[in-house]
Amino acid sequence: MFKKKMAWLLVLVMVGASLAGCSQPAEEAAPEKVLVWNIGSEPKTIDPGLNAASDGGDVINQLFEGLMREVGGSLEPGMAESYTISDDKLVYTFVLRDAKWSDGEPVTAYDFEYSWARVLDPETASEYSWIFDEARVASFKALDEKTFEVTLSDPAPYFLGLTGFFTFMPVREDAVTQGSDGSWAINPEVALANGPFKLAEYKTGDRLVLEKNENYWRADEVKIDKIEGLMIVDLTTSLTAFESGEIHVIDAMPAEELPRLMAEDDRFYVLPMDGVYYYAFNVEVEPLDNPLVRKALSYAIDREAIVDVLNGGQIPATNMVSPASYDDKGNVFSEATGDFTPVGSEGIEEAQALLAEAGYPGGEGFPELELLYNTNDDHKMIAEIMQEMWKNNLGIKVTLANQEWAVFQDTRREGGFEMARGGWIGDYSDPMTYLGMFISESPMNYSRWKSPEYDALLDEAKTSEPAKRFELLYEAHRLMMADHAYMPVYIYTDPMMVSEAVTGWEKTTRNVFFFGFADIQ
Amino acid sequence: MSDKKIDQNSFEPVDMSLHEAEAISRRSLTYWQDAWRRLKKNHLSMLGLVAIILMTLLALIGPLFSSFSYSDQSLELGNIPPRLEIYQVGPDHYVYMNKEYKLIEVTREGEVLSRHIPLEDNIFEKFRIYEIGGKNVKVDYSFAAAASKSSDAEAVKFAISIDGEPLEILDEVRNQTYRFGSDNLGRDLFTRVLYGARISLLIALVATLVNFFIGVLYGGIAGFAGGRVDNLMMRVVDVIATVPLLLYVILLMVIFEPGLKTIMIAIGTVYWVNMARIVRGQILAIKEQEFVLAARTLGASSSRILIRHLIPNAMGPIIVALAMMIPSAIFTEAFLSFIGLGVSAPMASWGTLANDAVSGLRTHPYQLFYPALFISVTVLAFNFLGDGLRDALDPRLRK
Repeated sequence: MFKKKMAWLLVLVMVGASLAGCSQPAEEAAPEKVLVWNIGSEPKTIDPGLNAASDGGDVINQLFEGLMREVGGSLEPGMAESYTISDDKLVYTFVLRDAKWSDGEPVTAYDFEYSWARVLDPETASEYSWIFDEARVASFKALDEKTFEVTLSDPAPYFLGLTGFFTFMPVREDAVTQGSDGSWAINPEVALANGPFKLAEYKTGDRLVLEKNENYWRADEVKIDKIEGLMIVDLTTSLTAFESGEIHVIDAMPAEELPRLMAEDDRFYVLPMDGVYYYAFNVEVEPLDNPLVRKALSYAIDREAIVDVLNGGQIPATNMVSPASYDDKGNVFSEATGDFTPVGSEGIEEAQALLAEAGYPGGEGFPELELLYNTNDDHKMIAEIMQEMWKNNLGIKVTLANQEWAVFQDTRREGGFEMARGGWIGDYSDPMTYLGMFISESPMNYSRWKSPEYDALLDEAKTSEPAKRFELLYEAHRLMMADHAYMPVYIYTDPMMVSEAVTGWEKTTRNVFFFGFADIQ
Repeated sequence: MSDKKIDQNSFEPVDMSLHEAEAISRRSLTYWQDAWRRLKKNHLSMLGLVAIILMTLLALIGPLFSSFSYSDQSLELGNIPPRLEIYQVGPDHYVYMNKEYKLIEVTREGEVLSRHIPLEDNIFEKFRIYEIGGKNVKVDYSFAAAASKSSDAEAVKFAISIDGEPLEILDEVRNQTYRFGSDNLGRDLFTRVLYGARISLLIALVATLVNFFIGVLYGGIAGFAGGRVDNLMMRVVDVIATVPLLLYVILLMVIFEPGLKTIMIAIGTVYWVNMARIVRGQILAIKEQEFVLAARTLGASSSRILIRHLIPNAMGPIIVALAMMIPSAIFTEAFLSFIGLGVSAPMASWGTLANDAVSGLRTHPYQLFYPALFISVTVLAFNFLGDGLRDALDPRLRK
């Protein structure tokens, strides 16, 4: 493995040297502006309708554009030129601009109708189809080529923001039908884009190359000619490449290096992030079917010690909603919900008592549990810390297992685990983006925790006035937390590094990259 | 009967020393005794052998001398190097500043005690204020960014002051608590390296045995038998060699749990094929030579010819291949462990220790140094020993 890394470095150096060597004559002709960005592990898909992960979302945000787009922190019309909202805040009518696909065909309202219907079609098996329900979309229709009408079942103030979200981005039928399971999106021959960039090359497990989409409606504002998205999983390799100037943008660094970078490098940024790092307990396996056991496991963890080791400004999480969501009175939703897990080591005694109450005093007779995480240095580190805390504080033995990201996502969704790590990045600024995960039929409900009462509360909340709605959401959140099917660990931050040569880069409030109007010196 | 008298004087005792001239004065040596005698003369090989024996002993009994287990963590004492630059802040107070510019209480001798909690921790202005032994200690690292950017490698990155007075380094001492330093979770690297030796050396041993017993015999039989048997046996080898090791391991996982056992079985299944090919080639080359014919004429059985005559004559390439195979086995284990098919954390082999350390290489190079040192020494020792063994076992050099 070590050899492999050295080989990688050598290859990088050689590639760099050869590039430097041959760029000489090209420079005289027209300096091509290439932004090199490390995506990390290969996205499972870059089909907007199928994607469910943030790495895929980053790529999709360069390729596609929804009805609206967040630029510079504010929501601007994207594919829509204008929109009107009915007085009861239920009917949104979007008038589309004369935008084109990368092949020159116009983007029509029918494309939107097709794309949205495709996500909702069970045959598409989109992992994100539930978001239509959360956005309260009741129906949508293309009135003509340029007019798209969406009817909501209840007023949802965050709907407009969601139209810029990847699941609501348009795809075109004739492209999609040329490759099943999103394979069309990674085939440069058939892939279509309506955003600032289009796919030029895709090498599985290696890189993807995006080039400027001349047919984008704001193409004259796009200054970068090419984006190279690398798929370097190893954080050290990627940091080394960044520090030697091979890569312009990275958004994951080894935890061990964070203190040094934070203190000594002014290209280092820590952005706040609306996301919760958590562990899911599979409530269908013994002894995790016992809420006492789950609570004991959660109470035995010293979250402060974990974020201290992580060193990226994270804060311990005490419930499953990040502090980025507010209620109707302006209170931070998660704070007003209350703490359901200890922050430091104060919960250990209670954890021991709970475990004894569950029938395993001092961990005696407790079966060996397996903790599953996706292969990554930081996840491994956190898992090792937890393993040791459970061993010391509760006297129980936990083994660690890891799987590659794509495999891991399937295993987790199918419930083939005992305890698994998870991370949830909020899709919009409302507690529903978190609470929606835990309804019985949600594919994101990895723990398989099912509560008709919870489902009913959420259903009722969807049709309630704001004051009543938040009352119900608080109740639901507390009900869900009290059962400890999920164990919150910390609130994410978004540490990243961007070379000083790159200007105008953006991360949306949802922590999605946008390089559309970036430039390179 | 005549009464001739035999004159006693016409006889004299035979000089027995003449007999002794015919005696074989040197004790007859067996093949292995001779090999051992010659091996002993090769100093480098003996050094290698001693190193391997020491390493094995260390792996077996070393952990008994450590007060830590391989999984004991103390999160606040992570990333402390084996050598500490200490500062004196009071008559009984000594501190060490870690790479995160945080102060850790140590003793004058270098025992690591605990981490200080700052009174004020200003991450924007980049300074920390501590109160230690009634004194106000300030760590200012605000010029670290400029210093690391400047071309001057000696640029000052921080300043520690005590009640406003700048503080100088008192001494550099050995870390008495963590002899090899601690890793990012505050685990004792010394203990982890020793435990890692168990896994890595076991893998090396298994790889050697498998190579030797399966690879050499298989290749030997194929080469010696020749013809259709040879053809058939080598096609089997081809089939095994075409399937990658990783695939075997993944398939084995379906049956067994991930772990050392699975890796050993995987290595056992595939690691001998190269050896079999090398040995077959050697045997094909030497089986037509006269000494084989001589042995056959004397009535030696096929198995005796193979084991006593052919294989010893092919020992050179065998030992060389073997010495190459051992490091590769150690690295394979590290790779498999990394992708989750080998030993699971917190147990660590040298390979996984080295692998973990790479992520913090620029800040904490010592974490990579020790596992890398042990891997290098082991590989070197096996190479030296292999070198000597090749000469010692070669019958052509027998005296």
